[in-house]
Amino acid sequence: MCGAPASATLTYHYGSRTAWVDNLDEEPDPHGYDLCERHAARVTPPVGWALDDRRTPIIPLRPPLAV
Amino acid sequence: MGASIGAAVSGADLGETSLATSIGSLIGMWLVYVVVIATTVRNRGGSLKADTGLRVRPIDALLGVVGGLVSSIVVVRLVYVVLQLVSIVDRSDLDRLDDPAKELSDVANGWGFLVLAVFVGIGAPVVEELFFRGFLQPAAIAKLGVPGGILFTSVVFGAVHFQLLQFPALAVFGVILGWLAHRYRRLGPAIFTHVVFNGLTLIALAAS
Repeated sequence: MCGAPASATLTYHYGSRTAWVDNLDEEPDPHGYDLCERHAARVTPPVGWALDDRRTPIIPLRPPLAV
Repeated sequence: MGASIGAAVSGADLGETSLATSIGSLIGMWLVYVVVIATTVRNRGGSLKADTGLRVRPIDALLGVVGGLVSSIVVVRLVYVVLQLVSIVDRSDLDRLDDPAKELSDVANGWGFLVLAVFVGIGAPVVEELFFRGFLQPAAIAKLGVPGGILFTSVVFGAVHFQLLQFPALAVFGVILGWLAHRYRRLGPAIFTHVVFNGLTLIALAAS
């Protein structure tokens, strides 16, 4: 069991062989699986399935140094 | 070579990252740039000022503040938002975006950070702009035209930092610097923009 706070929700559809990672669904949904940031980044769909990450992009806090 | 000199002077192991080896590496790289420029200018019988556009006007400081703020706060962040949308960069990758900067600042504390800030915040902008926008870009524009020359120089500028994740940001930042140097026919605006860009990251690192 992961102790980190949930930040994303995983859903899937067998018919279209697609899994989606979305922003955390605030409404409890028995068809969705809440994941922490680390586990959401590591989701690997089964062979033949597509994974669509639909989460809102995050903005980096610090740009790199040009040096 | 620079890292070797830095390690020898500080007594640190070459494999160990220290302020001396970090600054030594920078100096070593800059020495190569300066020698290439000096040799070429001397062989041409020209002058550094005329051949590279190394000129600064007071207005360049203002242009640099605007250019640096827009590049750092808007453009670079937008690059990574777009890269996430097209799934080239993962959200978790962004945690590592400032790793090279953090590694550099982690070896410097107190006065050491101040020394590092002078090298990174002033030295790098002057030497890199002199080489990339003052030396390489005009030659590239002569061969490839204005858009091609600026793009080529920017890709080289991004690539020589040897950081794959940071490459898109540095290349896009290079396009802004290249456009400034070409538009104003001098290096002042690009140098100040580079100073403000690095300065903002240094301030963020110091505050964290």
